[in-house]
Amino acid sequence: MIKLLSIAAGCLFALPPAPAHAQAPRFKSLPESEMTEAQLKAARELAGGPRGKLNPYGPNAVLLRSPELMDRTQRVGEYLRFKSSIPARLNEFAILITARQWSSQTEWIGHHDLALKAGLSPAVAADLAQGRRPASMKDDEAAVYQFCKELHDNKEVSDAAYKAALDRFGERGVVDLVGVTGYYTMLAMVLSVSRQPLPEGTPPPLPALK
Amino acid sequence: MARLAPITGKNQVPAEDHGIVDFIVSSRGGIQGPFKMLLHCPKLAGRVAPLGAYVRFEGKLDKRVRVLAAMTAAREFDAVYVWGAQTGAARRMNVPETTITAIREKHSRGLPAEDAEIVDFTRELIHKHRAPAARIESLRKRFGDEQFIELTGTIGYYSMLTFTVNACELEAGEGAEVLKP
Repeated sequence: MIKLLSIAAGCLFALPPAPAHAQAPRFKSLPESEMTEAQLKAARELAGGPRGKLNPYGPNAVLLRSPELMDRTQRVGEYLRFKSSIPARLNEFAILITARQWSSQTEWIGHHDLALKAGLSPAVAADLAQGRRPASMKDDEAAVYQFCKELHDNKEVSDAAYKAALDRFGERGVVDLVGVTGYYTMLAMVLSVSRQPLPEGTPPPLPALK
Repeated sequence: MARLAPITGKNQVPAEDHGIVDFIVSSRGGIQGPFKMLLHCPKLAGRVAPLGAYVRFEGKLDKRVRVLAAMTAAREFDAVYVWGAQTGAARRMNVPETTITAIREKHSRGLPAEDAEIVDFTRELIHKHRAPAARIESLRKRFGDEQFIELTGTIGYYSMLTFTVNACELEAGEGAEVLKP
């Protein structure tokens, strides 16, 4: 066991230096021993919810600099991730659309596997990652794509795209779909300014777009 | 006319969600703007409202800084309702008309440097999805990490609201300045 560990450690040291695009994170990760009472409380509250733990690579670890802000933000996310009326396959697809829009590697890494597990086809995700309109979307995926892309790109949604979403998801569904798109935009901003590191050994999944 | 019927009272939501409406009314004096739309999903409104209460009323960041960030987000996302509400708030705080005009016309001429820094940061984040390192360093130095994150969260929160306002085509509130495209 010890031998195995030392081999593993040896491998780590043998890794090439970080590539140039991996910029230094702006906020060091906060171990529990360095948290204030309020931060500890907010972190434990989050860990007690459906996420199970505070992801040190995610936006909540950054938002924790303002523990009350993190607490109230993550409660919005908890609803949008776990209680939204939009089915998981489409909800995770909407999150990936925002991740691609913002070139948020962290959001993509955090949700790509969840989207596939929920039934999104790998080909759809692969097209999206390249910045292309996915070729083989199901009808409901196309409705989500059109709605979210218009909202991001045009800052408005055409009558046709709005009606397609309303017919399919209802009024609550539209509010949920807009909510998840806006919320992950907010998180993408937090991730952008903080330059959160990617989990060790994870290459950035999203190519730069022209 | 907004695309969703505005929810303005408790009788439009299920009884189990009346507490959510009570919270919104007690924290804001009424059901305003995006909440008239968000309440089509009361459970989501019930989680956005406390976040908004922190960003608007609590928090540590200077209120004037918040209103500059919120106004800029409203302008850059062309969110008519949010622009009306935030210019109203800015005027109550005696933000000069030259500043409001600069934000409306998308330039920073004539803004005091400390205001321009907030406005420019908000624009950079929204349009380029990132801000120059020097800008972020300067803001972190000025505010400290906690309030710098609150500033970023403020821009994010109001951006989130603009998505709801834009998707639902929510018009300006009564008497508020109407944003032209």
